[in-house]
Amino acid sequence: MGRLHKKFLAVYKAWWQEELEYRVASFTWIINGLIGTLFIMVLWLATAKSSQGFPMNVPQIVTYFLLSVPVSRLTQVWSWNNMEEKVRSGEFTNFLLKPFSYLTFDLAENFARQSMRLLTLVPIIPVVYLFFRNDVQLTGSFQVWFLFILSIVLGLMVRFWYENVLGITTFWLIDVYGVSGIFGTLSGIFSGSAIPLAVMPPVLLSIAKLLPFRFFTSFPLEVVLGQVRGWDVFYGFLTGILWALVFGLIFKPLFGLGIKKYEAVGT
Amino acid sequence: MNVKRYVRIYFLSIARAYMTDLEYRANFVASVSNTLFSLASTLIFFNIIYFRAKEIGGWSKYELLLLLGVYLFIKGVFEFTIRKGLDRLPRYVRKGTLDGVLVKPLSSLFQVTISKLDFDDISQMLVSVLLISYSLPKLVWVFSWVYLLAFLLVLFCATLILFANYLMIMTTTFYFTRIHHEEIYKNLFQMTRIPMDIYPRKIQFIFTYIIPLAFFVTIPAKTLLGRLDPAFIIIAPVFAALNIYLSVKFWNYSLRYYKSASG
Repeated sequence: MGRLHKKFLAVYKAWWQEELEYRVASFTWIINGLIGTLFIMVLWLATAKSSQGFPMNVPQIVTYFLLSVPVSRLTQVWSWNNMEEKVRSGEFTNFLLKPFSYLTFDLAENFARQSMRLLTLVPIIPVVYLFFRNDVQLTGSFQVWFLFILSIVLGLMVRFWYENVLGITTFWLIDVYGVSGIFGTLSGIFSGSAIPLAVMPPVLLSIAKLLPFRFFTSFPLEVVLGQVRGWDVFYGFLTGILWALVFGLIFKPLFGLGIKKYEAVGT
Repeated sequence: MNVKRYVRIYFLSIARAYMTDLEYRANFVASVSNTLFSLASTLIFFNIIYFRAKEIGGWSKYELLLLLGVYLFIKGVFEFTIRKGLDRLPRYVRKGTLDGVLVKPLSSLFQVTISKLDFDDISQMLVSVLLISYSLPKLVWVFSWVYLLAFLLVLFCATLILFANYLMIMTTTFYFTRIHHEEIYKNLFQMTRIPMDIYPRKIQFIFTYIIPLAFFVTIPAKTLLGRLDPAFIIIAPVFAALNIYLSVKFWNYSLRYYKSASG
């Protein structure tokens, strides 16, 4: 375990250096997420204004979308993209020779990128808060905030396994542009980053509750804003854990099949 | 400048792009399916909005679909003609390969923009025509040559303004190589799928004259619907000419900052 820890740290440090070089790109990444979210927020505010009986009021919409920026950034991983790049370029061969698992490397790479990019988020939070302070409504007990943190960790786990499982498709398809488009679309609809689950029509809502995408953004926000309570919180966590388990369990056999298919050629 | 020569080279580049795309047919299929999925996602999004409200900022559901059609058309033209070529500029500057462009007896800007033309993007234009043809009959809209000609003029100006703005952004590559600020502009452009009328007046002013997002989609769509202030039919060409002039000047000026050093 100690040796694994050391290896993880070594990879983490290497990637941290790499990310330091691209720190302005991290800042752009955060700003980009913020701009997109603010536009969508304004659209929902206009919808709420023109609608009768809209399920969210102005402070709830503002708080939801502003919190969605750090939440979706905290649960983000780049595993699919990482695996695709390595398989396409043939660089993946190096990982077959290294004395530790590919997942350890991928986890360290994700954490390094994540921590660098989140650091750039820190100075932006107070500025955005000052701008919207009259509309931001943050309440909730210690227990709710604790569950919020746990739901982010769960979201990160679901997404990590989800992306790694989908990344395996690269061994067969090589160019996963089309497939990633399909999953990107599904994630865009059901993750809650653009459409809060609270405003979805009942049919879509029931589908969204069963899919893994909800855990990428929506579920932590539902927890902290009190949109899910009591047993629904429990069922939410249960669904997320089940998805993480399913992806985690099918990863190893699929990865084995993928390696057999791997041709070790690249561009 | 020998215009005939430039036109001939442009068509040769289109033919080259077509042949490249024929070689990578799977990519073409993937790109078309991506356009369709992205469209499906936007349609679902709009349907949910209109499930909750009858109109947004004075725009009905079919008016918004028309706006989406105009957006996809401009996006298709933009991506087919200049975007992908200009996106290569940071790599040329970083690797010092712009040298090869500068020594050729052709405009450097022209060469960079035609360096990557992609037929995949035509699918967006086709989808946009379908969307516009689908939404127009659903609206209380009477055909008028005046509206149509005004629309084509404003659409042309909008495309030029978008070209000019993107060129200015990409030209800053000569000063800052690795900041990916063009991603922010692409994101801002995506937001033009939403009518600018939903914003407060001050923000609308900023999005019209400072960051001219309104010109790209909302103003052309309003022209087609016959809802535009006629003053824009005069403002748009002047604004487009000014933007093109400034962006080309900026390009020519910035070329002197190219260091020709590879990294």
